[in-house]
Amino acid sequence: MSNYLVKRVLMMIVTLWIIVTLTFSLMHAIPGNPFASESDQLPEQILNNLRAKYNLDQPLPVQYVLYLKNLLMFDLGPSIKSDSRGVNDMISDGFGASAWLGAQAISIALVFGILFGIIAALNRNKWLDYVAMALAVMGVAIPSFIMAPLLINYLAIKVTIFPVATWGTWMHTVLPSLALAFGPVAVITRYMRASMIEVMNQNYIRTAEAKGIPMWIIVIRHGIRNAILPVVTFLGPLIASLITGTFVVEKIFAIPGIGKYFVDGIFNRDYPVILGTTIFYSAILIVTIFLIDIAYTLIDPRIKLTNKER
Amino acid sequence: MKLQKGWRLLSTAALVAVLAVTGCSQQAAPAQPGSSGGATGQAPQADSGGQADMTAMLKLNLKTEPPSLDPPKGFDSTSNEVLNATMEGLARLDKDHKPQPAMAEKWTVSEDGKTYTFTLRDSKWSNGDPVTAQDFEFAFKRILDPNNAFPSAFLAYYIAGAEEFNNGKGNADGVKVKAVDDKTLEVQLKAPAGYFLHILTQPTFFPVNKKVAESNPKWSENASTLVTNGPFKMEDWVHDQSVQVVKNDGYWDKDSVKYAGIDWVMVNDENTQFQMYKTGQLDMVQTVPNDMKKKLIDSGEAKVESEASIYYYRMNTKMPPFTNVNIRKAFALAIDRQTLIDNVVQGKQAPALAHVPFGFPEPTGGDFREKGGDFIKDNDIEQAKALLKKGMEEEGWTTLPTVTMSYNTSDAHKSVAQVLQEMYKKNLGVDVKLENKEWKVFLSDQRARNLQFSRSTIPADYGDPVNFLELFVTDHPGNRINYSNKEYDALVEKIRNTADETERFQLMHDAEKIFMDDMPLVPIYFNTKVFMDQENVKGIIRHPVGTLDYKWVEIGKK
Repeated sequence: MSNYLVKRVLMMIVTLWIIVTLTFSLMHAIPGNPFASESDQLPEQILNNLRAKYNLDQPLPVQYVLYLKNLLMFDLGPSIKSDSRGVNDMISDGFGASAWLGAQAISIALVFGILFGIIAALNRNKWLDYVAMALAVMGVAIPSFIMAPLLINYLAIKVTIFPVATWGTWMHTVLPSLALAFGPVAVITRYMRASMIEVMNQNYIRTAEAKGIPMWIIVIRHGIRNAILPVVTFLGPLIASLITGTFVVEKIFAIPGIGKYFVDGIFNRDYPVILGTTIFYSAILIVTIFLIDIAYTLIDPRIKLTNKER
Repeated sequence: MKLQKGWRLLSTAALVAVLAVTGCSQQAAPAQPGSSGGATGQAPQADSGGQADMTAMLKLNLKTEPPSLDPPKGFDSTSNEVLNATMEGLARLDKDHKPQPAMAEKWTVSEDGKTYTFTLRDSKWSNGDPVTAQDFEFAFKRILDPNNAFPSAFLAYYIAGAEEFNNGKGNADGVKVKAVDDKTLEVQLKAPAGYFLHILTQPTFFPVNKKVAESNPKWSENASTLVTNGPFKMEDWVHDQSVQVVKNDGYWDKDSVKYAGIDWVMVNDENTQFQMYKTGQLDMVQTVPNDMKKKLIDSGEAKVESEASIYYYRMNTKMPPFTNVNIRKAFALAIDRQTLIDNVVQGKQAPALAHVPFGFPEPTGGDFREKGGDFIKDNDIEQAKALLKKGMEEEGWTTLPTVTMSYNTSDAHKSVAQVLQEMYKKNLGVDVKLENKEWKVFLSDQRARNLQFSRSTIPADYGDPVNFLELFVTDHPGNRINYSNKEYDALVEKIRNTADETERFQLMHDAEKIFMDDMPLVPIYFNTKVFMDQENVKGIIRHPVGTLDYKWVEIGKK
C-alpha cells in the first residue's frame, strides 16, 4: 500500500510537470502580449522597462527555468495585470469563496441528484419518473448563464428573499449555489437512475425481498451502495471544477472567487496567472481523482488499488 | 464482518452528511460590503426637500478590482476612479472641466511658457504629515524611474530631462522638478504646453508621501498602509470584493465634502449591476445593458453626456485600394452614420464628420469641434460614387481590390461592421469581407500595420486636441496605417513648440484639415456616456477627458 502511495505521488508530480511545460509553451505561442492596450502612447522604452520587470526580455528557456525554480518554492509569481497582488495572493484570497460555493453546490447536487435518481428508478415509467427525467433534461439543457439571471429575477427582485449579488452573509451564497448545482443535479439524477435500475434487477435484491426485508432498508443497504459507483466516478472532476470556481456564475453574482482568473488571465495574456491557475486546477484535479480511487475501495471492497493485492 | 460493512455504509453516509451540513449550517460572516448598503444609507423617511445627508454613504460599482492604487501604476479608469476620490494633485478639474488650484494654492507661468512655479497650501496626509513640495518632487521623479516601469511615465515627458531619465540615458537629478522649499515647487518643461495643467490633474501626477513610500515599498497594496491626501481616505479594501473610503478631515477643502464616504462593490456583470441599481443597492451606474439603452434614454431614466472619444475605421494607406485618396474618401462618405447610431449603437452619439471629438475648449471660448465644424457630409452617396469611379480610373482598376474589415470579437463591433458592410454594398456596390480576431491578437496585428481596414475606439489620454492629431505622425506607434504626410508631421511638431494658445489652436485646426483632406480614416461617431443617477444623488461630475469626480456629490435625504 505504501509502495502504491509513493508511486502515485511521483506520478502526480510528473503529471504536473508535463502540464506546466505544455501550458508554458502553448501560452507563449498565442499571438499578442500582455502590454498591448488601446493606448498608443506607450513608447518602446516603457514597454522595454515593463518587459524587463517581468523577465519577459529573457529567452523563453531561461524564463521557463526561472519559473520552475520559483514554482519549487511554491511561488507562482507576480500578476502582470494587477500590481497589488501576486498569483499566490489571488488564489489564497479567492479560493475560500469559490470552494465554499463549490462545496454547497456539490452537497445540493449529491443529495437531490441521488434522491431524484432513486425515486425515478423505483417508479420507473410512472409519472414521478417522467417528472424527474424532465427536470434532468432541463438541467442539462439550461446553461448557468440563463439559470442565474432567472434565479435573481424571481428570488431577489420579484420576491426579495435573497440579495441580488455580491458577497458577505450566508444569504449571499444561496442563489449562486443553486445556479451552480442545477446542472450537476441533473447529471447525477440520470446516472443514479440508470445504475439503480440495473442494481434493483439483480438477484440479491430479489433474495432480500423474498426474505421479507422492508423495501426502504433494501434500497439503502443494498441498492444505493451498489448503484453509487458511477456517481462517485463523476464526482472527481465535478469537485475539482466546482471548488475552483466558475467564470459565469461568479461574474453574474459578483463572487470574489478565482473563477474569473482562468478566463481573464488568458485575455490579458497575464502569463503567471495563466500558469498559476492551470497548476492549481490540475493539482486539485489530480488529488481529487486520487481520493476518489481510494473511496472506491471503501464503497466496494471488490475493487483493489494494486494488482498485487488481488 | 457485518459490523465492518455497517461501518463502511455509515461512513459513506456520514461523508455525504458532513458535506451537506458544512455546506449549509455555518454562517460565513466576513464583513458585509454592499449587502444592504450600510445602515447609514437608509435614513428614516423625512421630507427634507433635498437636503444633503452628511451621514450618507455613496453606493457605487467599481466593476473590477483596481489594478493598482499606486498613482502612476494604475493608469486605467478603475484605479483612477478610486485615486481621484482619495488623492489630489496640484490642480483639480472643476465643474466646467477646467484645471483649478487644488494642492497648489496658486501658480505662475514664465513668459516663455516653460517654467511653472507652484505654491502649495496647508493640507495634511491621512496619517497627519503635512503635504510638502518634496513629496511632489519625489513623486514626479518616481514616475520616471525606469526601474519602476510605470506605464503612464510618458505623460511626464513634457518635463525637461524626463524622457532621458526614463530612457536610461539621464538620471533623476536631470529631471527639472525642484522643491525650492516646503511650499514651493518649480517645474521646467522642455517645450511650452498649454495643456500641462490639465495633464497635472491626472492621477499619475498625484503626490506620494515620501516617508511612507521609502519605508514601505508595498504601501499602495492594502487599505491599512495607503496614505492619501484627497477628499476621502481609505477605510477598507477587500480585494476583488469592495473598497470603502470615508471623509478625510485633514483635507484642505473638507467643507465642500457633503457626505460620509463611498462604498464601492465590484460587480462586473451588466445585468446584475442594473438589477442592483433598480433595487436601490447602487446610487449610480456608469453603463446600462445594451438592449435596454434606447428604452432607458427615451424614457429619460438614463442620461447621456458626451465623451472625448471617437469610433472609427482605419484605412491602411499602403494597402490597395486605400492607396488612393479618392477611394478612401468614397469609403468615408458612403455610410449613413445617423441611421447606424439610431438603430444599432443607440447611445445618442454624434455622427463623426471630422477627427477630433467634442470636449476640448478653445482658449477664446467655445469648443474645438464646434469651431472646426464638419469636413464631410454624412451619407453623401452621390459624391461617394463619383469619387470611387474617379479613384478607380486613376489607378486603372476595373474591379476593386478585395476589402476586408477587421474588428475585435464582440457583439457590438460585429453589428456595426455588418451594417457598414451592408451600406457599402448598397451605396457603393462594393462587397466588403468581415473578419474578427481576439482582442490582443487584433491589437498586435493592427499595430504591426498589417490590417487593411480595421476599427478603433480612441479616448483622450489628456485634455488637448493634439492628443488625437499626434497619433498620425509618420513614426507614431498610434499610426498603424502607414499614414505619412511631411507637411502634417511638421505642423504637429510646430504645435508642440508653440506657446501662444490662440495660435496653437489655429495650427491644430490647420493640421486637422490636412488630415481630413487625406482621409485615412472613416470616422463613425463621437462617443457618449450613458449613465443613471438615483434621484437623490446630485453632483457627480463626468469630464469629457478625465476621471469621474465624486468630491462635490450631495446625497438628498430620502
